[in-house]
Amino acid sequence: MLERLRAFFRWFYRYRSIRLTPEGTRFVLLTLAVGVAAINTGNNLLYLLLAMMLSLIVMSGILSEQCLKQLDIRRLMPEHVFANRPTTAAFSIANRKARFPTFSLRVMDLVERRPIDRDIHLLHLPPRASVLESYPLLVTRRGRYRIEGIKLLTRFPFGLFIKAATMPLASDVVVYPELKPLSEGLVHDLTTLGHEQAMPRRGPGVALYRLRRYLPGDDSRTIHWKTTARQARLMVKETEAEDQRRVSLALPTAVPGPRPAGHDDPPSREQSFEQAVVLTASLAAFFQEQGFAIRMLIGDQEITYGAGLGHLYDILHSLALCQLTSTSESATLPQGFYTLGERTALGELTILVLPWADPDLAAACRGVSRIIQPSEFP
Amino acid sequence: MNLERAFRLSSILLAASGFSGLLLTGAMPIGLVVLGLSGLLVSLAHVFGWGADWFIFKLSRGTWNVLMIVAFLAFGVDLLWISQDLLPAGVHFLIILMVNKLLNLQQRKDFLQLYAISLSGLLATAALTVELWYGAVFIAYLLAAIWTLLLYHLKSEAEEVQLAWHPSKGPVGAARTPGPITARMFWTTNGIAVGAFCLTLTIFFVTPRIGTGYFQKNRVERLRTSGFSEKVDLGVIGAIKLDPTVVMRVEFPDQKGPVAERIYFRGAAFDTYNGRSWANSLAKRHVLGRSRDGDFKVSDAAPAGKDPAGFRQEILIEALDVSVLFGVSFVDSVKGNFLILQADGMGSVYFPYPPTARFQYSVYSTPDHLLKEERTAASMTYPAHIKEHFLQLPDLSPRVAELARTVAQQAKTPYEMALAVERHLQENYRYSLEVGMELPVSPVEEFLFTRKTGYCEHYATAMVMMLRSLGIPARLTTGFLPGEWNDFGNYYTVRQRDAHAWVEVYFPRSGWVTFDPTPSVAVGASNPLWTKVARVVDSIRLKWDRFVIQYSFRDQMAVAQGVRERSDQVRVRVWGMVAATLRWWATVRTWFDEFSRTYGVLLAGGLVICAGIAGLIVAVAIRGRRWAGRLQAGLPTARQVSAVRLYARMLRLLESRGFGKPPGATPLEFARHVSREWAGVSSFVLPLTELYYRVRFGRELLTPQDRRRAEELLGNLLLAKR
Repeated sequence: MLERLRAFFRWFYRYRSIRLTPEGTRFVLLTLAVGVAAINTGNNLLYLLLAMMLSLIVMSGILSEQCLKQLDIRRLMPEHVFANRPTTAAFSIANRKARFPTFSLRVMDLVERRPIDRDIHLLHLPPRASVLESYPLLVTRRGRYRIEGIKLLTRFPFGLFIKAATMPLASDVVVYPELKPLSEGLVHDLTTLGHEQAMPRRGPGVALYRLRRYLPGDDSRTIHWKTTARQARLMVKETEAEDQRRVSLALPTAVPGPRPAGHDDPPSREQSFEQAVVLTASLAAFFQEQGFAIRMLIGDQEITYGAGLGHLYDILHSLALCQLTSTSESATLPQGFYTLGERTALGELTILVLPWADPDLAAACRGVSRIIQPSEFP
Repeated sequence: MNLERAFRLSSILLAASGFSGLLLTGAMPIGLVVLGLSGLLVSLAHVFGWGADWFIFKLSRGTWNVLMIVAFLAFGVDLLWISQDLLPAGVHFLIILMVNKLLNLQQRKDFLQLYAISLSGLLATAALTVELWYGAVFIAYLLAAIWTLLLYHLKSEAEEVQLAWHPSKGPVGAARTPGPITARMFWTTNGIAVGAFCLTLTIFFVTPRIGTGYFQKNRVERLRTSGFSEKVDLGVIGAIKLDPTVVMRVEFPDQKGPVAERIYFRGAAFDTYNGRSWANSLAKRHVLGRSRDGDFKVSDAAPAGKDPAGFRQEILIEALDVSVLFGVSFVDSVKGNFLILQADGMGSVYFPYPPTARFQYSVYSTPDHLLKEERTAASMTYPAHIKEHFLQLPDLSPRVAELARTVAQQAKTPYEMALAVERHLQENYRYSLEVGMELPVSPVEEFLFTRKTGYCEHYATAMVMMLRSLGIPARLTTGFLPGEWNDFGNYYTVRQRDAHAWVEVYFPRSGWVTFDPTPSVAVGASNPLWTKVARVVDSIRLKWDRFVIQYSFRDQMAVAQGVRERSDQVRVRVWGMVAATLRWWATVRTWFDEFSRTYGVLLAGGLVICAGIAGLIVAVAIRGRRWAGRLQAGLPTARQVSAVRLYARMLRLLESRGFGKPPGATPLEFARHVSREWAGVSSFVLPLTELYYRVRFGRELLTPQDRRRAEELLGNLLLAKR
């Protein structure tokens, strides 16, 4: 019976909770003292005072509930979120009440059932008014980031209680891996590798190949207006064929064979893997900026060649969600890794990012342009 | 008024309301009154900037601490030697603390301490008084408390926001800055106060009264009265006959107006007269038994509540210095919040000790009734104990008995004799309170033969002596006349000046019957308006006493019982309606069965037609509602129309400057287009368009501020040069 009662109360108060403030604690103690005095003396004027203090407590409950009622709150999340990079989210808060304003409202996000203070504190929101409050959002880990709801807090009207209301307003966002600037040495190496491997020629793509005079029959969409204006004659832009600037990035997600020396403990392996993910994401961003078509191998997942920001976000999305899958000895390397070397021979860049030293894997992918380990670039 | 000033003002008013309670109790010496008032005035002057800054905060914290130590030592001295009581000494110390805080309101804790001090003041007031003005002080305190707590909270929140706000975030938004006290906030806060007051009353009345009163130390001074002790000197009632102090207020719940019969609130009765004073030789008291209902039974002759001629009275009596309880003659039963009651051989009811506070009780009385056969009986046989106690005569002049015989010579029965004596005294003697300060050797003879003026005691004593000399048992009774009837509250206000003495004559089968030889005296006329006002105030005071001060568990039970009885009535009525409906349904069903047996086809056809008509009505109603809904959704509200008009004015203005709105462009597209082409007006066009969107499509209210702002923007747009 008691358990049922408890369950009922838990269910009943699932969206509401009340906590005493320090002033509230003193007030309640004072009320108790007046109550004891009233009972001891039987003095009705003390009962009147007791009733006044109790009515203030009840009014607190009623008015705070009024404050939290009929609020229309929406969370505006940024489209792309990177780990460890502050971005701006916002709350749109509208008071839908016809007459009663909302006072002293704090808005918090609920993440993993814990409230996170976003420093949003409204003193006064008139009836039928709305306000947009932005706040910096910083997520430290890549992957799925779920904000389960929002918690609204108010101490209105007398500051005796903190009333909290929970609203199930969920937001899911995939946090991309952190993008770090590549070291100068690595950039130099990659640029050199790119030049060696590239065979520039005209073709459909994004990167500029050359500018030339407009000829009859050219697609008018290729006219480069700025240069045309500068030179006072029609000029068109030719792009570099993308199939000539290709890069394959590979990131193994499983550790084949016995555990590598020095990486016995799982936290250390996780750490190395995370560094490898960050490095792979940074490489992808680098090559996207350079106009490369990028192919990505993440474990057994393959993202075929593509270019542009949209493709980069696809890659980052996959990198955000990839996990260290298995460390069992029976695990085999995905087929795509064995053909990495062959691609190199066709004039493409192939880069294998190894989370840790793995001679077997390095031997299997012998033909790749470059094997990079995060530990090389602390 | 800005938030800071309003907050300080409400805090001072809260302290002032607590202080005013203490002031009205009269428990403060004049020095502290002056100190407290000065502190309040100086702090008020500081709030309004009336040049009191020189006084505030000038003393260092250390100096204030030393002053407080001195005040605390003074409190000790006061407690031990001057007041010798914790409450008065505590009140004196409280005033000093309040003044200290009023002159040092700097930090949050100073304000909180001031609130605690003011609440303590109100608590102390509650312990010191039961007067009506406490209600006014309480309401003022509640209003000030609501304002103060609300403003304290808003101020604290505003300070927290300001502290947390970093300059790098730019200017603080309107939602994060405290605004001034607007008219809306003023009325909302007062509405909250009214709500809190109603809630307070509800909680007050439903909170169970389980008060034990063990630690109650009542500080109400007892009212001094006379004429109700075991021995009463003749003439003592005269001393209080000019005193207008209210002794009790009496309601007759079963009567709608004043009682038609002449009634007397009987207190004590006396049997032995020694020529100068009356005494009660039957003063030995016995404890009264209690019925199941909690009634103390005084008389076993007539069961309470059964006699249709009886009176039920609710009496609120002040704390008198006598232990006798008053009630209309003759008291059958008493009910109240007390454990023990006693009665003496005269039928008078007593507390074991004089009460220490104003209290309330109910009395059920049965009026005297002289049987017809005793009216006409020529002689009567009296029991021995009656003769022993109520025929006693002091050493009186034979002239008294002779006068009695002369007066009663025409009378044939004891009743007629009593009437004759009563009439003789009423008609041949003058009522006057001016009988001299000194008591004569034989006041009765002085009254009957020499002075021939006197007041109720002289009349009553003379009648008792004359009747006893005729062999008729009689006794003197003291109590009160009903006083004035209050039309507003439907009750009698009985004052000290209504104290009275009358006579009770014994008849063997009828018991004691009341006679009053004192002639009626015309009451001096007073200002009718003032009298009305006084009655209204007195009526409010009675309600205050009845429903606040004396409110008890007994009242709560009475209310609960009333609710139960009412709910029983409702239940019976509902059941009656249900039973009637069922009977009607059974009749209809019987008729229907018979009809269907006889005209089956006709009935089926009729039912189909009825169902069709009903379906048609429902369909029309639903469709009508839909149409109404559509019509309502399509029609803009008055505020939306206003917004559309403002926007249309903007469009006309822009058209005159060469910016016609293409029909295909949305308002926002058009606004952006205008802003691109004519950047100088973008700051007017975009906000106006946004306002149009908000009100027209967002269904938000167009506030007066919005309207003013829109007019301003249109004005700017009109003046803009391209």
